[in-house]
Amino acid sequence: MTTDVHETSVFLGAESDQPNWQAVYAEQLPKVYNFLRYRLGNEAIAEDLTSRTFEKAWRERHRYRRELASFYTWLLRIARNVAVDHLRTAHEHEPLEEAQDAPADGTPEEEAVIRSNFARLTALVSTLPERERELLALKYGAGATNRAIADVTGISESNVGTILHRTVQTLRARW
Amino acid sequence: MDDLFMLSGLRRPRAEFAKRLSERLDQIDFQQQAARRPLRPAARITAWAAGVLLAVGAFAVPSVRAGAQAFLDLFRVVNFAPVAVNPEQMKEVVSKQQLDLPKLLGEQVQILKEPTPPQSFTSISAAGAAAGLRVRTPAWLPVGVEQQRIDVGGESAASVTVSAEKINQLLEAFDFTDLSVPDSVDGQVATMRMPPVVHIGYGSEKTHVSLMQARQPEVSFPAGTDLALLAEVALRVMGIERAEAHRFAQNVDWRTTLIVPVPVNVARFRQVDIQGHPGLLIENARESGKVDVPRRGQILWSSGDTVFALAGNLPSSQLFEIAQSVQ
Repeated sequence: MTTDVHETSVFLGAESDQPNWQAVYAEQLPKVYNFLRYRLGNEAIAEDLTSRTFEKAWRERHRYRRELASFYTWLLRIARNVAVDHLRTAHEHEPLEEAQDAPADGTPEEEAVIRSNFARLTALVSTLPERERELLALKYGAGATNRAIADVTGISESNVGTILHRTVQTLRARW
Repeated sequence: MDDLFMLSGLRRPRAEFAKRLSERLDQIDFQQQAARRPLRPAARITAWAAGVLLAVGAFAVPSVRAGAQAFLDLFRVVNFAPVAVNPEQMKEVVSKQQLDLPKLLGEQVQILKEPTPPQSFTSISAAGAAAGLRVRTPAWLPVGVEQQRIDVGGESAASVTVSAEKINQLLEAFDFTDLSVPDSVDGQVATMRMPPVVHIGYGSEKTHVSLMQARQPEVSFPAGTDLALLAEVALRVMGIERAEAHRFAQNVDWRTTLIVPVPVNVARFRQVDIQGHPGLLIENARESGKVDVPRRGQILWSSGDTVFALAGNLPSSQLFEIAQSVQ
């Protein structure tokens, strides 16, 4: 299941290049945060990099051109680069950890199962190549469509679908 | 393990974190950053502006040149932004109207400084010293691809004198009766100085990759020049539809943005992000029947005071990786 981006909801008007930042913040914060959480597997780092992403987008928003890319894609590109920069400078990848502080939606029992499953999933994901990890984070963390992932990564849409399909099959086999 | 399972680990950000970040964003004085500065007499065109001349260099790649040459000959000193153009359609109009476009526009261009022939260097540092910039190189190249040569092309400069009469002649020839430029632009002179360009060639038996980099070119023009109007003229001549050309011309900041014309019959393009900077990927159409041969492609981007153009016969994903690794 992926979510389509409702571009019109975050723009002030049909002809405006300036997004409604309140709407952007409310709509995109969970997507960027979960992308980075999926990508890095660490709550604290995901929060830190989410902050960097939004601060960078805020400062550079005058460079955004609506006719060239969707706002969602633009923001994800920034998040992606923030993650890449982090991974380049980190001495080693942060250990994947189970979510501890994030708000939960279900009963304690349901949440315990979900947390356990997610911890196991992130451990498995950590064994995958960087490209596959990134695509999974974009797909299931940010909820991006294959088309949006293609725009963000430069990989063709059909290849994105193929790689994701194979990657999920791999995870399924190792589960 | 299905999509629902994969999504089951998603979490809402902590409310405290969301609130704190929101407050931090509020503290950033974005109004000041967004405010557009008034046009200065010698406004320095940065960022995308620098892509122009490197775009010309990138289009010198043989397989693209055939389709782009006529166009670039005409517009090489005009501000551009990435737009798809149809050179065939333009040629048709030129031929139909018996326009001598090189003469029509060429007379307005004066070469102030011819570039000196490229000079070869054996080291990156020596090339950088000659060009006056810190030369960046890719940290990643495909297996077997190695540095083969380093050249530095000399500085060049040109000026363009605007002629209202000639522009209106052109508009008339294209039958754009809704658009005209006022006599007040007549005689205005824009000058462009292109700093030395460092060209590093990489290759293997079958692969050829070029990385060009230079300091931002400087373009100056008289105060009060109606850049949006001139841009609209250029966009219309390039074949952009009337309403779209007007909207585009009015909404783009022409102090920082140039038109990069991409012939639709030989290439396609899309915006990419190179190390946090906006870039443009131009991908050639595949030669007929050669499905297993990678398209040639180019990526243009700028970083700080340097502009880059990367070109090669590699899949765009590999060109993208090379560009991302330039440091």
